[in-house]
Amino acid sequence: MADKKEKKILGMTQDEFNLFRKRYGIAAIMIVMIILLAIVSPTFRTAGNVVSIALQVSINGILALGMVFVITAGGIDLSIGAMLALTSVIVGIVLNSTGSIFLACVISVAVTTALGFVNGALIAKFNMFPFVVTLAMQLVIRGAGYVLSGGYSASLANADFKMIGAGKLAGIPYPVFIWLAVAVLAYLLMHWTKFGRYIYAVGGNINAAQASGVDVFWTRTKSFVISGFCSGVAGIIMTSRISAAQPNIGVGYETDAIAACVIGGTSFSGGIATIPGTMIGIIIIGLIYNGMNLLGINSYWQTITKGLLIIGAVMLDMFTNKRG
Amino acid sequence: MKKWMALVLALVMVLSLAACGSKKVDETTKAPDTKGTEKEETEAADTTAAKEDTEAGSAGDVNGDGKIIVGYIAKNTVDAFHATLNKTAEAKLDALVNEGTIDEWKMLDGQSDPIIQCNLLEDALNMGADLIVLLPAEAAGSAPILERCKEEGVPCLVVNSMTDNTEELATAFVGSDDVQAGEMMAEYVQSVYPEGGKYGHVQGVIGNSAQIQRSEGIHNILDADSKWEMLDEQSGEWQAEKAVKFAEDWLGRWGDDLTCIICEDDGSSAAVQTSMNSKGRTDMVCIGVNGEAAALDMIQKGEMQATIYQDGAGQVGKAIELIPDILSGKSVEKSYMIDFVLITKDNVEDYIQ
Amino acid sequence: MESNYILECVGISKAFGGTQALSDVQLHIRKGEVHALLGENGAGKSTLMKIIIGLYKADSGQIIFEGNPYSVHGPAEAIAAGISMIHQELNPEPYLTIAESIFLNREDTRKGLSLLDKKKTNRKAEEILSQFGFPKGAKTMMEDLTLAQVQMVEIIKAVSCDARVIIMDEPTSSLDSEETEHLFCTIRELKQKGVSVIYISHRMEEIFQICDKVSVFRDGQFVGSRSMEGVTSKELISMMVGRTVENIFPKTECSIGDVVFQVEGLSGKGFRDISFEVRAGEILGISGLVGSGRSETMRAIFGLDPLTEGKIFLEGKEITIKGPKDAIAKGIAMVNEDRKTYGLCLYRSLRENISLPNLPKRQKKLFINQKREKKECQEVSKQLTVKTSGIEADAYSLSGGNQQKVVLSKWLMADPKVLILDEPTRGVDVGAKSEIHTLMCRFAAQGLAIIMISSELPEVMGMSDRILIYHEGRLNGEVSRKEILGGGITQEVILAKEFGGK
Repeated sequence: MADKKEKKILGMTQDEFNLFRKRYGIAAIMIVMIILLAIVSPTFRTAGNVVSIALQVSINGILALGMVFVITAGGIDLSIGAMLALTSVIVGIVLNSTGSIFLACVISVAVTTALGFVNGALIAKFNMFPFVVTLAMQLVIRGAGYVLSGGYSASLANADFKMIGAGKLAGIPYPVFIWLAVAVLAYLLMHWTKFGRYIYAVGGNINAAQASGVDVFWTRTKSFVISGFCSGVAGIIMTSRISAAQPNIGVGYETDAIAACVIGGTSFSGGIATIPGTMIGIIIIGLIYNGMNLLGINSYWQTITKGLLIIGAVMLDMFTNKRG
Repeated sequence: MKKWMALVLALVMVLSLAACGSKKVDETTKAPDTKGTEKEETEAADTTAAKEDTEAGSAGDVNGDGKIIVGYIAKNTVDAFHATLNKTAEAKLDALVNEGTIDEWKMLDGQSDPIIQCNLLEDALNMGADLIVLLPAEAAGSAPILERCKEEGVPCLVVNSMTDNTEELATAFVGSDDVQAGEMMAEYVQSVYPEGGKYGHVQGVIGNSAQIQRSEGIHNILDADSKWEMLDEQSGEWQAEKAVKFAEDWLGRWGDDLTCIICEDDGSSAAVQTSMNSKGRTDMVCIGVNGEAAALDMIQKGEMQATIYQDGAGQVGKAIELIPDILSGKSVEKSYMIDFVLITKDNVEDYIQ
Repeated sequence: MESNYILECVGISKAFGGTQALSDVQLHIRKGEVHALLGENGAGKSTLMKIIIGLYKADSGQIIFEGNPYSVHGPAEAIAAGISMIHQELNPEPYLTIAESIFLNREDTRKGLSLLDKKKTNRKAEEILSQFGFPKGAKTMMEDLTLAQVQMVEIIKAVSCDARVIIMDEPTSSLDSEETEHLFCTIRELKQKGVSVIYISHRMEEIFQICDKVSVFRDGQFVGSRSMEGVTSKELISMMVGRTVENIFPKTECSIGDVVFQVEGLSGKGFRDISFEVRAGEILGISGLVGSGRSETMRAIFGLDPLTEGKIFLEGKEITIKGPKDAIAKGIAMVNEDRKTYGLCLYRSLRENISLPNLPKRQKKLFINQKREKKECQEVSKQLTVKTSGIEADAYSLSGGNQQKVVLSKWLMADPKVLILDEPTRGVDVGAKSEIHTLMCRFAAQGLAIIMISSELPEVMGMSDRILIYHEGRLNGEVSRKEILGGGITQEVILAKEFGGK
C-alpha cells in the first residue's frame, strides 16, 4: 500500500514536484526528526507517546491555525496568550454560577471572537500596526482576566467539563479531535473558499487586492476574528485540562503559535502560507518538546532548538520561495 | 495537495502500525512474568510487606516494564529557590540509582506552567515512570496530574506546595506550612517594633498557594493587632524589580510613616532592602521567605535584619527518602511538614553554603 | 596608441545557470557622447550595465575604461572609478536632506573629530545645485521632491562624484513631457562637460531627440551600432526584433456604437468639472502631463479615491460607486498604471491573480470549483498569449509584458463594459507592446468601451478614436482620429494643449 502512494509522488510532473518541494520542504525535516527519534528512543515509538504528542500539540495547534490566517493577511496577533487566560476566567465564572457547560463555552468563545473583531477593526479601520494594537490588547485582555477573577484561580469541580480535556474516544483524547476538526475547517477556508483567496491577496499585495474589488477591511478583520475564535476554543481545552479557571495562564503562548506558522512556511510579510505546512510546523514543535524530554535533554535546549529551527525555516523559505 | 495528504496519511498509518506492533510484542512477552502478579502485589501491599523485602526490585514496577523509573516534574529550573532544590533532588535521586533502589530517573522542567506539567506527566508515563515527584506550578492547575497518577496507579509525591487535591490523592505531601511563614514574618516585625507601625505588603503571584497562605499568615497576626496598619498591598509576582518599584513608590508617598515592608519571597525583600538602604532607611525591616543566597549574604553583612528560611532542600530530601518505602509497599504518612526557620545575624552562618 | 573611446567592452559573455544572458557582446562609448542602448526586455542591456557597475561578474571578456583595464566589485567601486548609474526605480532616503543625500557616505567632518560639518556640506551642495539650476534648496527633504527632482539629485550626485560615464536606465519612464525636456537639457549640459551618457530607453522618439549613437541588442547578442544621423526608427525596430514592423500601432477601424459610459461634472482631488462619454467599440485616449488629473479622475471613477461632485452614467442609468468592488460588479475594470502595486500579487500564482476579481461572479458556491477555475484561467491566458510555464507559476517569474497581459486577462475575464487602461504599455518591451495594442483593438471590436491614458503621445495618437487633453485638472480640448489622420493635429499641437495652450 505504501508503495502505491510513493509511486504517485514520483509520478508528479517536474513542475508539480517543484511546487511540492517549495511548499512542503519542511516536511522532510519533520520526517527526519520522526525517524531519528524513533531510532534513538524506544518510548517514542509507542502508541501511547504518539497519542500524547497529539494531545500536547492540540492547544498550540489550534492557536497556530488561527494565527496563520492573521499572518497570511499581513498581520500578527500577540493577544492570544492573554485570550487563553480570559477564556479560562470566563469559563470559571459562568460554570460556577450557572453550571451550564454549554453557556460557559459559548460565552467565552463569543467574548474572544468579539475581542478578535476589536483587534481587527482597530487595525483595518485605522490602519494601525497589528504589532502595536495586539500588544496593547494583550495587556488589556490579561488585565481584564485579573479584574474578573480578582486575581484568584478557582478549581472547577464539574466532572463533565473535565471530560472536554480528559475524555477519550477510541483511546484518542477529545482535544486531538477538536484540533483536527479545526484543521479541516481551516484547510477548507484557506484553500477552497473565496475568503481564503482574499486572505492571500490582502497579505500578498493589499493595494492590488483592493483594486481587484476585495473588501480589504473585512478580510483583515475576519482574520483576527478567526484568531480570536481559535484562542477561545484552545482556552476551553486548556481550562478543562487543568480543571481550573486560572488568570495567569497562557503567558508566551503566542510565541509557539507564531513559531509553528513560520516553521510551516508562512511568510512573515504575508501572502504565503498553507494549512498542511502549518500542521507540520505544529507537529515539529511538538516533536522538539516531546523528543527532548524523552532523551532527557535540558529544557533550555528546547528553547534554543526552537529558535534555531525558526531561523532555519525562514532561510529555507527565502531560498525556495523568493529566489528569482 | 491530495498527494501530500496521502503521503502524511500513509506515514501516520505506518508509524502507528509500527507503534502498535511493538507495544503488542512487549505486552505478550512480558505479561506472564510481571504484569499479572505485580498488580496483585500493589493492591495487597500492606498485608504482604514481609514478602516484598525479598523482591523489592520489581514490587514498585507499576507498569511492568522491568524497570523502576522515577519522573521528577520540577516547577521550573530558573528561579534560585527551585534551582537549589532541584540540585538536592538530583544528588539524592542519583544516589538511589547507585544504590539500585531505582533504575532511572527523569528530570522534567514544568516551566511554571500547569499545562506543560500535565504534558510532562504524559511523557513521564510513556517513558515508563513508576513514581512521580511533583513540584506543582499551580494549586488548581496542576491538580489533574494527581488524578492521572491515580488512574494509572502511579504513586505521586507532592513537594513544596500543595495542589487542591493533594490531601485526597497524593501518596504523601512534603512541604512547609506557608501560613506559618507568614505568621513568623508578622511576629518578627511585631517584635522589632513593639510600638506598632504601618507596613507595605508585596505579594507573590496571585493565586499561587504559597502566596495565598503566606498572605493569610501575615493577615492572621497583623489584622488582629490594632497597632498595625497596612498601607498598601500589591503583587510583585515574585519579581524583585517589581517589588522595588512598589517599595519606592510607597516610600515616596508615605515617607517615614512607612515602618516596614513585608514581601512573600526574599529575592524581593533583599532587593527592596537594598533600595531602602540606599535611600537612608537602613532602619527599615524588609522581610521575606525562602533563604536565598542574596538575602543570607546581606544578613551576614548586617545590611538586612532577617529572613524566613524555607528548607526546600530538606523538603525534597525528605520526599526522596520516602521513595524506597513507597516502592517496597510500606505505608508512609500522608503529610510531612518541614519547619520554616527565622534567620538573623545570630544563626545565618549555619545556613550559608 | 591612444584609444578614441572612454569605455570599451569587448567580448563580454555571461550565463545564469543554463541561460546565456550575454554572448560575446561589445560596446564602445566615446567621451561626451550620448549613447543609446536599444533592445527588447531580456535582450541583455541590463545585464551588461550590471556588469559595468560591478553587480555581476562577466564570465569572459574585457572592459577598458579610460585606456586602462577596468574591474570593479560593486557600485561603490564603480562610482569611485568614475561610472555612476541612475536606476529606473529610484529609492531615495526620504528623511535626508538633498545635501545629505548627495554627500551620503562621503560627509565632511570637522578637523580631528568625526563630527559632521553640516555647514560645509550644505554650502557645497548649494553650489552644485545652482550650477544645474535646481529649484530647491540643499536643506529640502528628499520626501518633498517630485520624482523628476529626485532623479535630478541623483544625476547631480553622480556629477559631484566626478562621474565620466553616467548610465541612465529608462530615465523618462515616470516623467511627463516637461520634465523630460528638462532632463534632456541636463543631458546636453553633461555632454558639454565631456561626460558620456549611456541611455537606455524604450521610447524611440526620445532616442532620436537626444542620442548621438545607438547600439542594438537582441537575445543577449550585439546586433550593431548606428550613428543616429541617417538611421530610421523602422530600421532600428527591425534590428531589435529581427523583422520589419510595418505599422507600430496596429489600430484597426471598427464600428462605434452607442454611448456606454458617461460622466458629468466630476470633481475630486486633482481634477475639476470633468465631463466625457465613451461609446461601445471606441478607444478614448487621454493625454496630459503627469499630475494633470488624468489618472486621478480614473482612480476616482473606479472607486479607489473619493469623488466630491459629479454624476456617472452606465448605459444611460446613473450609478454610484463606493469602491472598486462596486465598480467591478457594475462592469467597470481598471488596469492601473503601477502594475506591481495595484495590478498583481507577485508571489501568488497566475491562476489566483486572474480569478481574484472574478470570484464573486464566477464562484457563487461556498467552495471554489478549482477545476472550472483552472480551465477558465487557462483559456483566458491562452487567448491573451501570456508566455508562461503554466498558470500555477508565480506572477513574479514573468517579464513585464507578460505580467501586464496577466492583468489584462483578469479584467477581460471580468467581462467588463468599460475598460480603463492607465499606461498599459509602461515598462513593456516593443514586442509585447504591439501585442497589447492588438489586444486593445480586439476588445474594442468586441464592443468594449476603452479609456486609455498614456504619456506617450505617439501611442495615444496611434491608438485612439478620440483624445481628451488634460491641463491642470481640467479638460483642455478634444481631438478626433479624423483630425490626426488628416494631418491637422500633430504631436506638437497636443503637447501645446497639455501645456495650457488653446
